[in-house]
Amino acid sequence: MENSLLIAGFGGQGIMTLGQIIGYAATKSHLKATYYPSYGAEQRGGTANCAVVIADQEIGSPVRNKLNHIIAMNEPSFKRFEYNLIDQGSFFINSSLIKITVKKEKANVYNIAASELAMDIANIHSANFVMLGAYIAATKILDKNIVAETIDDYFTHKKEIAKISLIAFDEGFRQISKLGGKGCHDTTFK
Amino acid sequence: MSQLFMKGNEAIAESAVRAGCEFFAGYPITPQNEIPEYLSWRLDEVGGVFVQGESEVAAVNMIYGASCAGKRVMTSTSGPGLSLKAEGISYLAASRLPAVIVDVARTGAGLGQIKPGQNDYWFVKSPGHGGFKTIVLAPHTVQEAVDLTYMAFDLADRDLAPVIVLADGVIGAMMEAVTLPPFKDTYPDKTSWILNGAENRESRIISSVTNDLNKLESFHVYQKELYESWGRKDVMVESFMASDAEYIIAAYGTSARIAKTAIRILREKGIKIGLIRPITIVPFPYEAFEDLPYNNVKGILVTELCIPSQMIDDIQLGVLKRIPVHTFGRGGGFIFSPEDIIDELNKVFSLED
Repeated sequence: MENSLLIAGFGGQGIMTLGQIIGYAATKSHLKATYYPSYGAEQRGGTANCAVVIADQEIGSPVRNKLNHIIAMNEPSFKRFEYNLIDQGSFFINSSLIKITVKKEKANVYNIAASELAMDIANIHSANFVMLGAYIAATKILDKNIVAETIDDYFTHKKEIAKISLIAFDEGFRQISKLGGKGCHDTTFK
Repeated sequence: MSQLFMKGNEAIAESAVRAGCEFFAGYPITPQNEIPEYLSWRLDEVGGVFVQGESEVAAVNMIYGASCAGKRVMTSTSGPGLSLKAEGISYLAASRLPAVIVDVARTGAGLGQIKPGQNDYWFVKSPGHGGFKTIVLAPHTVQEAVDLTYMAFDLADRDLAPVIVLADGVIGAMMEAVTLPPFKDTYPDKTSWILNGAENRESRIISSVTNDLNKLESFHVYQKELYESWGRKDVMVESFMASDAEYIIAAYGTSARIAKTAIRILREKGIKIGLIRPITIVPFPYEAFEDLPYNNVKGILVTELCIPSQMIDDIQLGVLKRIPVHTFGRGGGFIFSPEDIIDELNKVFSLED
């Protein structure tokens, strides 16, 4: 098993936090993982993305062109990486901010209104955790409880943020569970 | 042993602390900033000293001073900063002072860019004037960055010489699980040469200037013998799926791990391809290339995150034109993908035809 994930969005949407938490959780699950943040002389409000590879054997390249999964938090990042998804790969799309439809064929598309859901149940800043919940529920790549523990550990000195993040995570998970874990092109939640 | 998911730069820093590094002086530069950031609080915790110098020149001379006093010392930087430290590294080598220098390489000459690159290969083999060499250790994973940094302190103390850890911006910035080594509790005895106050003993001088020309020449002969001894005992190289390979990728650091993914993909298609990965750039594993089964191996591709290729010089010394050696790289801070390597292999060797 080797799985490549790209998480992309605006700086400030918690892209790097999400990537790191997945890496921590994978390590906790005795899997191999790499996390590589895109860095550069970035502009505020510019795009931010990170690559996460999870595997059960030694990981070669931490950066991939061909992606099994993409979590896209905004339109520019979606447009930039759309065709890096492999056939039968999965898109997790923050449909609150991404209003364009997926052109890539042979893709599982999960439209999650993450920003709106986050605002309703917790805090707009936890939209990333709504996406994480949906991602874990749909892919089952990591155990839900281990990811939840990891979120709790990550914010060990910020209990309020841990609480909000876990509420958002559960909400994302619930969105997918409602559909029996299946995604399809025209599925929108909410 | 428990595994920790750590950023390369921070893992290097923690490894240095566990190796007994008591003094670090540095100056900020991307992509190595997490090393001094981490050590700024961590060294204080363990009773060491962290100094952010007013420049790279100051920082390298601070580690010169602390090394004279017998401490295990380190500095870290990236390309432009290494240029500024070159004078000090030459002085460390000439004064026979142990020190560990970490270069988290980025792309381009001059200021270049802060994006990752493997552009310092030529430079780190002799990072300063006057004709000296440094052992150069080149990790390709975060775990290896930890292990080689830990080892670098022992090599530096063994030879009384500066040792370079050559990482790159990908290894520095990425996170990966590591098992950290234990805290060292025994160190080489340096009392015979350090400057610790001349009470009840003859005074000593540690200097890079030698007015006795015969003594200076003896030192040059000693350097030659030292460098030859590295070639006999310190070479490290990984051979990955290479024993039956008809095609060889030669790569170190990040480009080697990208090549491993390409090789796994091609092996599944039945193509006999493998990797030879120098772990020590100095001493270079020439034998791994001299001893290739040339009746079986058809060609070599050198992959590096830089243009032009730099490692090809050493590969050619091993191969001596017995088979074609091609190069493939990306410059400008771009990172090639495993698929890019496969495309290049197909172009030069028609692999999948």
